[in-house]
Amino acid sequence: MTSDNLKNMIEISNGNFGYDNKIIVESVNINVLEKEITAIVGPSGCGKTTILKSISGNLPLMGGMIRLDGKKQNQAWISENIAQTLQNFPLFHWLTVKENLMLACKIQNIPTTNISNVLEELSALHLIDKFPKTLSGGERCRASLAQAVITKPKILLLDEPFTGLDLHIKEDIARYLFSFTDIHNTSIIFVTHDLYDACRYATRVIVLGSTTPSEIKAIVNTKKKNSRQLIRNYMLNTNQEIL
Amino acid sequence: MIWKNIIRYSISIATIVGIWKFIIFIFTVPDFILPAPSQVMTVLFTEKNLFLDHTKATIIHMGGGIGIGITLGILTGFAIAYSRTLLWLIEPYLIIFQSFPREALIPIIVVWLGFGHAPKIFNSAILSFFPMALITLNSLKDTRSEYIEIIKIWGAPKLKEYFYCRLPNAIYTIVGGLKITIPLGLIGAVLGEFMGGNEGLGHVIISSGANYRMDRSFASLVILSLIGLISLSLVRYLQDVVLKKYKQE
Repeated sequence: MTSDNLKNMIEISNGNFGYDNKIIVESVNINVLEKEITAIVGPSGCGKTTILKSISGNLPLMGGMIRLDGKKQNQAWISENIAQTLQNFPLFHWLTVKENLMLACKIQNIPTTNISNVLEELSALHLIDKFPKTLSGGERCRASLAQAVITKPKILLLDEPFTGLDLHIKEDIARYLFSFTDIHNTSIIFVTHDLYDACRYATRVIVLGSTTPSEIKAIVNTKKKNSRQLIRNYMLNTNQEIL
Repeated sequence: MIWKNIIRYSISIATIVGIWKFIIFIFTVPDFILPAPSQVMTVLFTEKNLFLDHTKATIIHMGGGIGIGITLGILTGFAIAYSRTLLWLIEPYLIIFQSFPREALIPIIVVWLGFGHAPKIFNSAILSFFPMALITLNSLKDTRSEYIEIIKIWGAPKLKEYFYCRLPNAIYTIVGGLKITIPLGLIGAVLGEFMGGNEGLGHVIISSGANYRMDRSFASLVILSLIGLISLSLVRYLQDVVLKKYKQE
């Protein structure tokens, strides 16, 4: 299927992102298609997470506009269609993995019957009765991801999903995410520091600069030859062109 | 673990008793000033009915006061954590009363409520209420930001955010706050008993001191220590066993 057949799930026009009246990232123009996996890379503090928080409605936009699935961003649509995992995959420490998922379902008014299936798809069924403090980084990632995908969101926002995981687990999780986007037409934006992860798991990579406020320095298609080298150059401040 | 604690506490008590006996022996302190530990233990057994009655009264004063103080403290803490308007209105009172010597209110409370159980319970309640409200407020406000973020991503309304996220996250600390509020409640009850009436271990301490029956006064102190120790052990059990899973990672 070509990109012409796919609709825009996220359209950001002249978006300014920040908090406490301080703009962190400005003049952002991004379109993310359905089924597309997009990575945002850039130096620490450049506003990668801030963009995710604004898309999910947790931070108000400081300028510009966000359209989601063709409609102006609104909380009701966000609650139903966007899911997010946060850095370090926080889970409520007093609940088991199953109870964490049940709570997510209960609050979002979705049936709890799917919990075992989702965990099984993520090879995490054996974690069902475990408490978060007993989980390894990879296990936490799977549990946290299960909590996010159980709603079958149209947009999945992942903050540093691969940080601290070994290659084997990363590949396993990425494989799951690829099939998930295919089955559910989900668009994914993930934030990472790792150039390798961005190029390997995303179809496009958005490179943010290190200025304050920062701007998009480039949007690189990872299918392009030498894309990793290109992104590396942008991150090291050697080119300004948007590809 | 429990045996280790028993041994630890036994050694501490034995040390104090040893020093106590040593002081009496060296300075030949008369028993109307400082009775021997054996005298205190003897009076505890020979006058056990008297001590049982007064202990019951103190437990009623303390239990009633703590029950009211803690319940109202938790409810108030929850309400002001939840509502900014209530926080704006009530927090100054909490801060003022927390730093105010509330014991100074006891004579006034006695005038208002008389010499029965009521002033002691009220006094115990007022001493335990303020710290409980502040502990509840602070522990609800101190919820980990990523927890709040998760539950907000799910679209939870504020009430659900409090019941499913903030309260379970805070419960271990709130219960831990009982380690502060229960001793304060006990102090409140005993101070109330000092001021008037003829019931409770506080009354025994005051009346025995006036009659140079220091053995009774010290026996009352031993019982008060035991009440405090048992209460704190129950709180610790509640935290470490019943609420273990709520302990922060």
